[in-house]
This record gives sequence, C-alpha cells and structure tokens, in this order.
Amino acid sequence: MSVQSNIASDGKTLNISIIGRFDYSVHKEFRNAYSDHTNSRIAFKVDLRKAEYMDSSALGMLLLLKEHADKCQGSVSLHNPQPTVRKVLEIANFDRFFPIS
Amino acid sequence: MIRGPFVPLGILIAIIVLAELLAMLGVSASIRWTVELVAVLLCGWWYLNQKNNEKETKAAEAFEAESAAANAEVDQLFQQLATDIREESGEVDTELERSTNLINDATQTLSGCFSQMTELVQLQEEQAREIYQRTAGHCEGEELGHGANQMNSFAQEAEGMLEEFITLLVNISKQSLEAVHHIDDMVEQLDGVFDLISNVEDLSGQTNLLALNASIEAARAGDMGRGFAVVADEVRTLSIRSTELNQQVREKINKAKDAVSNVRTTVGEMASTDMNASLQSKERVDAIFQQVSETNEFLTGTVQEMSNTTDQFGQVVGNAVRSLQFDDMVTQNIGTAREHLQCLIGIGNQLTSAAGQSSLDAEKVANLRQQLEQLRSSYADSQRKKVLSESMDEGDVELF
Repeated sequence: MSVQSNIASDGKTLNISIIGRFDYSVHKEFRNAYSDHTNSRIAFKVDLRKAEYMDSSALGMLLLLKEHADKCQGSVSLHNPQPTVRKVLEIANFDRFFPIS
Repeated sequence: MIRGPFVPLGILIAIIVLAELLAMLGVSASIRWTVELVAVLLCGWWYLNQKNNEKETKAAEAFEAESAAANAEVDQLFQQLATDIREESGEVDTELERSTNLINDATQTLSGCFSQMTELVQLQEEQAREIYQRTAGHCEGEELGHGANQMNSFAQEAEGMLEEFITLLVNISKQSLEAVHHIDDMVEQLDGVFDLISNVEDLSGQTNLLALNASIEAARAGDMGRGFAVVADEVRTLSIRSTELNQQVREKINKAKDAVSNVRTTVGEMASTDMNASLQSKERVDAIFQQVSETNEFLTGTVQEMSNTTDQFGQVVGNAVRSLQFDDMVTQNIGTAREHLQCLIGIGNQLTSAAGQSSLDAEKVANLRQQLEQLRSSYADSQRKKVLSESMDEGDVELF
C-alpha cells in the first residue's frame, strides 16, 4: 500500500501517509482514502515524510482533496515534505493554498 | 746742478785757502787752526746732512712711485670689480626675469591642466553613472522604462511566465484527474450493467428450461398438446435469442470498457507531468535574479567608490592648485632679489665713479655705507614679508 490512512477516534482528523512515489499510480488509492469521509469540519493531514517523488498529478490530487475538504468546510495541511518534494510544492505556490509544516 | 760732496768740499777748500791767506797776513795760528777745524767740521756735518737728505728723498721718491703703482692697481681692481658687479648683476637680473616668465607660464599651463583634469574626472564619473543606470536599472524618475532594466524585467517576465505555466500544468492535472475519477465512476456503472446482464442471462436460462419442460409436457399430452408444443418451441427460441443478445451486449460493453480504459490511460498521462523541468527553469530564473542583484550590488559599490575617488581627486587637485600659489611667492621673491640687484648695480656705479679718483674721500665712503645700509634694511624687510607669507597652507583655494 503506497497510501495509508487512519481516521482519528473523534472522526475529526484523517491522516493520510504517502509512501514512495506520489504520482498517477496512486490516484485511485488516494481518492479512496478520503472520498468516504465527509464529516463537517474534518481536517485532512497529509504526511509526506516518506514521499520520494511528486509530479503534477500529485499536485492535482491535493487540489481535488482541497475541493473535497471545502465541500464539507474541512481543511487540508501538508506535513514533513522532503527537500525535493518541498521544492515542487514551492514552485507551484502551494504554500499559498496549504499550510506546510 | 752740482750735487754730492763737491759743494762742501769746494767751500772747505775755499775756507782753508782763506785761512792760509789770513795766516799769511798775520793772524795767529790758533785762530787759523780753529777756523780750519770749524770749517772742516762744518763741511763734514753739511756733507753728512746732505747725504742724509739725499737718502730720504730717494726713499720718498721710491715710496711715491710704489704708492702710485698700488693706487693704479687698486683703481683698476675697483673698476674691474664694479664692472663685474654691474655685468653679473645684469645677467642675474635677466635670468631672474626669464625665470619669472617661465614660472608664470608654467603655472598658468598647470592651472589649466588641473582644471581640465577635474572636468575630465567629473565627466568620467557621469559616464560611469550613466552606465550604471542603464545596466542596473537604477534610474531617477520615469526614464527607466526603455531598456534600462532589461535584465531585471526579463527575469521578472520569465518568472511570471513560469508561474503561469506551472499553474496551468497543475490545473490540467487536476482536471484530468477529475476526468479519470468520472471515468472510474462510469466504469463502476458499466460493471453494474454487467451484473444486470448476468441477471438477464439467468432469466433467459430459466426461460429456456421452462420452455424445455413445457415441450416435454406437450409431447406427453399427444395430439392435444401439439399446439402447446409449438408455443413452447417458440419460447425456447426466444430465450436462446435473448441469451445471444445478452452475449452481444456483454461484448459491446466490454469493448466500451476497453475504450474507456484507453481514455483513462491517456488522461492519466495528461495528468502526469514531471516537475523537474519546471524546477530547473525556476532555478535558472532564480540564478538570473541572483546575478542581476549581484551585478547591481557590484555596480552600486563601484559607482560609489568612483564617486569617492573623484572627491579625493578633487581634493588632491585642490592641494596641487594651492601649491601653485608658490608662483606668487616666487615672483615676489624674485622681484625683491631684482630690487637688491638694482641696488648692487647702483653700488657698482658708485664704485666706478669712486675709482676714477685718486682716493676715496669720506663723503663717498659714507655714501657707499649708506647704500649698503639701505640694501641691508630692505633685505630685512623682505625677509619679514616672506615669513608672513609662509603660512600659505592654511588658506583654501577655489579651483579656477
């Protein structure tokens, strides 16, 4: 599994971890990880610590996640990106759309 | 004139002859001897006296001659000295005048050169400033626009374009993924259709079985069931056709699924763009920014340095021009020297006229002394002036 997710016990936070390449090959898994969670004000936390590579489809996936979160007044935050991944996020100005820590 | 011992000798002989005559005439011998002795003594004294006088006169004559010769020599020396003083002073005066002119000319040329140097350095600084403004884009007012800030605006434009491009790329990815999601949803629906088809296939199978049972029952009924058997056959035929139809639908939908899968792959490829090229472009643009910024910094520093250098140059030239004031002082000093020379020439003239006479009388000596005194006092005066003007460095001088 390149995408792992677990929902917090209160149902307010969904943690999604990406392992390995974050590209088109994981789009289905990624979508499945969040599409069923529509709780109001849910926080999606995407952990990128183990993400080695990121292409434009990953950026697209994150934007779709944001759209999904917006529909249920939720939020998306990105965590622990590696330098190469952080560069891709910065070049796409994702720091304007997502809090990155 | 007969000189020497002949006159007293003659007189002596005359007296002796006279005394002998007197003796012959009867005068006593003692008187005769006394007279003769006195005469001899007188004659000797006179002779000695005469001799002595003669010596003195000779010495005086010799002295006179010597003194005249010495006087003539001194006279000649005086004249020579006076002439020398006059001529040499004249030469010195001419040289001094020439020097004054040379110094004045040189000073003027130097002043011209210095002011030109200042102008040139200022021009150079202005040119450097212009280069700086044109290349670095540091321009006052509105004049910036055309070409002044080309590198900077180019880099900004490139960055803007790159940003737009990346935004577009990400949006395409997002929309493609959305499309893929829709396709996935559609494929799910198609899978539902397959379920439905298999249901229909089940129904057909059961209908077939039913028809089979019905024809068996019809056969058992004999002639009475013949009509029913026909219906049962028809129903069976219908179920078989229905199964065939279902097969065809399944095939078509499978083909549709394949087509959708192709679309999915294509759209998926559209969604996936490697970001490395964009990252590299971004790095290049950043490098250009960095370079432009460094160049600007360098130019700012250099122009500032140049400005400082120009200021220092101005100060140095100012010092040089101030030093050129020596011209005034030297001219003044030479003027004083020439006055002294005039004085010397005057003294020379005095000496010449004095030398013409056999001796220097008191008045002339006093005159000469007075001249010398005047010379000394005016020299002292000029020395005092010189001391006053030695504080030249304290004054500041404008460039001319």
